[in-house]
Amino acid sequence: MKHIYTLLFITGCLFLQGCFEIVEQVTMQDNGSGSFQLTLNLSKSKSRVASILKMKTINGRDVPSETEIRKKIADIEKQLAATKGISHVTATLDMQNYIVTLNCNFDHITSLNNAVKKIGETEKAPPASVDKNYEYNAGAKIFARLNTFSLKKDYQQLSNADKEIFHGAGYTAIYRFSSSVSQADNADSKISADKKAVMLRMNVLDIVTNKKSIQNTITLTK
Amino acid sequence: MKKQLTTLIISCISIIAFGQQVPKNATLVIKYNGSRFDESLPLEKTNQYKFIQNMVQKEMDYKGIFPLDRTGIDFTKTTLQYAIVSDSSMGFITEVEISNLPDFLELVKKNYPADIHPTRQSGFEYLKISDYKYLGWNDKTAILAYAHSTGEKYEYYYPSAEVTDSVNQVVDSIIDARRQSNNYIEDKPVTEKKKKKNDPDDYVIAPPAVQWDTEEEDLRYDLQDSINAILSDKWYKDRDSVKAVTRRAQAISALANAFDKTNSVPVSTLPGYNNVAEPSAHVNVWMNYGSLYNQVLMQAMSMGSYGYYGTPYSLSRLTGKASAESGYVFGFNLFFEKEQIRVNQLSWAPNTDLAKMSKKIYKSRQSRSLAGYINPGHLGYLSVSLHSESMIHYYYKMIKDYLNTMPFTAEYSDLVNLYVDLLEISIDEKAISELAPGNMMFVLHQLGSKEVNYTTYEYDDDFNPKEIIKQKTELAPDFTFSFATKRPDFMKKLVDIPVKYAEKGGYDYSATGDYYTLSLDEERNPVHKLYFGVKNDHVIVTSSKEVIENAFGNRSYTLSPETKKHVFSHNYAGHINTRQLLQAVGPELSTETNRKIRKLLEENLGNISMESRLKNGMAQTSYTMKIKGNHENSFQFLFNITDAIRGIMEAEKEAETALKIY
Repeated sequence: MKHIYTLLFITGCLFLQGCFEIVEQVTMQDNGSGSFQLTLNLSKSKSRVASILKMKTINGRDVPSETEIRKKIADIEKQLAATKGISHVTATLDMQNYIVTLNCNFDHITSLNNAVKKIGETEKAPPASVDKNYEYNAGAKIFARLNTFSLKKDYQQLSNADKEIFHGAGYTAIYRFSSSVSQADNADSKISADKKAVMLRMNVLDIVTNKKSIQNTITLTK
Repeated sequence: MKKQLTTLIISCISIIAFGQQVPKNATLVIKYNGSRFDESLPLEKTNQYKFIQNMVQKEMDYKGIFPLDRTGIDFTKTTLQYAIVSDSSMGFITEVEISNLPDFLELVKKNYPADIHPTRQSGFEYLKISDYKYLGWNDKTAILAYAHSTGEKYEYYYPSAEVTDSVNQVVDSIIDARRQSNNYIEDKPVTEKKKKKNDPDDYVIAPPAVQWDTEEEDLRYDLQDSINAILSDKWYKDRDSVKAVTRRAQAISALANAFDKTNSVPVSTLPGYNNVAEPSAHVNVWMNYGSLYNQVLMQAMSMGSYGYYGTPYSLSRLTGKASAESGYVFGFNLFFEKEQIRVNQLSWAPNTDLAKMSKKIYKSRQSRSLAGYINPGHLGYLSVSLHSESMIHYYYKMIKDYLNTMPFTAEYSDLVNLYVDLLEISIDEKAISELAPGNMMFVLHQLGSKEVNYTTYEYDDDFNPKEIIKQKTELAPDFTFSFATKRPDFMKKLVDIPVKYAEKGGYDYSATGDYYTLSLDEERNPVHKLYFGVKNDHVIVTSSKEVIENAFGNRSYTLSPETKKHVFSHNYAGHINTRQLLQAVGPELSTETNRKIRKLLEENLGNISMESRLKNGMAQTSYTMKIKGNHENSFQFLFNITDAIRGIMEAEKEAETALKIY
């Protein structure tokens, strides 16, 4: 979740009022490998983003140019690709609708955790301090989305103008599996009709203020 | 005799009205008229406000309700603040009158640690609050002095060559001692093995000539670091104690001067004070712009390692330049009236040339054609009408004044003036003023709405995402900017030329009848179309098709009598229709708290206006904010609104906590 923070600031979409959407998708195979996709969608705020991108600074923060944003995304793509156990990395940036998507495959859940941590370290963002975001126990067939951090302090230190960006912003997590899901312990999550996926939808504000947690332990049928 | 008597009477009135004394080199004086504040909101009434109670509890560490009238400070009397800048220090002094010394001392005691004891000085006692702040008092007055030594620079510790040599000697001796105690045998340098010609090993990089004892080198660095750290620490401590002594001396000197009023004069005798300060105001601010600007500039130049020469730039080098004669004296007068808050700004130029220039700049009137763009029900407008040619002449003088007071350029003022004169000869002010004589108008007609598409996702029963396009409503400002011109022929060419290069430039700009249309991507811009045109004596840029068509159809809006008076009687006239603006931005507010605050402001905030003109030979600008709702006066309005906003925010916090517990 913390890497969302980084991406938000990278794209320079600050000071918007609740008009972004984060979609995190993890597809797990029984052997522990899988694919990961993260989407940051600012389409709902595109006229504001377009206006902000014409400025040099906003509220004392530098606004990156389109070239700088593209470079930053390419850097992240390179870092992901250089991480052991990560393959098929692609990053797309739709500057018409301001949608960024990162895709990659991983051979083991540890590789995915390492990749997220590495990006956090390079970008000097909070994920640098988090070793694990995901866990998968192939034997017990249990997948867990961890929530081992708190953004509440960071959020409280933001100015009111900065806080506004979280109002109404949405977060969606979808976890897919080869086996059927027997249980998901987060009360806000839903299991799909075919029992092969779990979805969690929340307001970003609830997450950053610790009102709700994205932590979810999903048990699969053996 | 009669003249002398009149002078004496005027002097007495001045002293009674503005009896307070300030140093004669004060550059900024702020006077709070306590009795006016007391009339607007008696002190005992302030205790009813929750935010005051919270502030007192938090700031003064008082449990329960603490009345402000028990601070020992006489808030019904005048409070003075003033800034003084000299070659060696910069000070900001606050003077309040004491009505009850024991209460005041109790307040002081509650705010500062018990182990800090006041020091007695001739005529007052004082307490050090921080490195730069000192509080002094006697039985009548309390003075808070902030004094900063302007000679202070950002200095860093750099050991001299002698110190470095000594450190190395000490380190060498320690290492020698270590060698002896360990019966150490020095490594011999490993000499490079001679190789035969054409030996492939020739291409291997040779090892260093000397095999370093890394352990010894590490020790050497560690020792050097430790000794340097001790020396540096001592150097900083010594420097800080010298600075502390200087600061203390400066602060105490500022306090002593404030108490005994040496070199002080009545405020009323400051240059232009009586011209710009209005006695009936709640707050008067007097600012000698010329000297304040120069003094602050000089201090900025003197500070830091990167300051000019790294030494204070002496004010005495600018004698005669940094005086009131070199610029304007400004006065800001704040009034809390029954139905409005008003700020009256007056600028007075002691220099008659400057006064004449102001008169010329303000000799202009808004044109009817520009005023005709103000629609009934507008959200706001800004009307400007100045004589641009005179303004350009004023800039020459301003550039000269600026460069004549800057370090270095001040020493070459004759040369600088010659260059500026040359600039004046080469620029055709008349031609510039023909292009734009100085009349302009900006009108925010309304904040409309537009539908824009955006991409989002929907999910089927198996949570497979599908990209979909949805619509949302966004604010779309409708505005007009127009300025007068005496060269419509040139302006017509200017607005026509982009048509030719539109295709090449990749923008959509075309002639549409009498005017031109620039089409923008509606999805990515707040406005969809911008219209450009030149109509008789003015240029128009607008986002409203109605406005551009009205202009070329010789139609204009009818102004209300108030707007007419406002625009045509002032050189600057600005107006914001607060209620309509708040209603327009309402849908954009996302949180319930923001919506409640908006509603509160909508019910209590009146329109905001600004106007400026030349009156009695002085440029006078007024800013007014009307109030609505149930308030005895505008000062109480401020307290009521602050308290109400606090209440809304507290309620939100309580609701959040309750939700958490639940």
